[in-house]
Amino acid sequence: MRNCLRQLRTQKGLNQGELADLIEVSRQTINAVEADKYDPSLPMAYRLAAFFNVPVEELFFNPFRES
Amino acid sequence: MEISKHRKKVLGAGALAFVAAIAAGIAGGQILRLGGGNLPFAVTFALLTFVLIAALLATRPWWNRLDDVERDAHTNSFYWGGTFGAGTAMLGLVAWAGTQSDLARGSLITFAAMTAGYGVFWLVWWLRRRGEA
Repeated sequence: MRNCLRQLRTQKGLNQGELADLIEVSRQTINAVEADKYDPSLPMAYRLAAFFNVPVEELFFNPFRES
Repeated sequence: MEISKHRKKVLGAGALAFVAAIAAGIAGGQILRLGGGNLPFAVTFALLTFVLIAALLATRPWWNRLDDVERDAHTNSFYWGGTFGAGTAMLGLVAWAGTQSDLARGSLITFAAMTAGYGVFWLVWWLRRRGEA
């Protein structure tokens, strides 16, 4: 699922390992989600959205909603 | 290199699972030697099953501490890689020892038990996720 996780992370000045540590997942997980190689579960999507204080759809682009 | 909090938790639980697997192997060996190796089948089987369940339960903290992606990686690897690896070994044993051999029978029993275990867990998994229609 396309997303802007990388942009939000770098805006906060965090590297993948630091973000992973803060939300208690592996660095590889952050890498896979950022690279659009893995769709996160709903709880993980909400967790990331809450961390960056944005709505989920602002972080993960809804491919089913007409733009 | 600093180890992350998540990695520490997973590694700690993984170490417990590893130690439990080794302990289960040792315990299993001791059980097979009990009574000079002449315990009734039912008793031996029950004791070994108990050890297996205890070892599996000891791996639960490790499983629970994995994040979504890590767990999905293990689930996929176990299903595709594990099934292919075990299937290949079973077919190899049958081809090597013949269809009427003890190895072939053992392979068949193992495959049937894996299929039955898979079916039971699959059913329980869906039953636990049923909601109101």
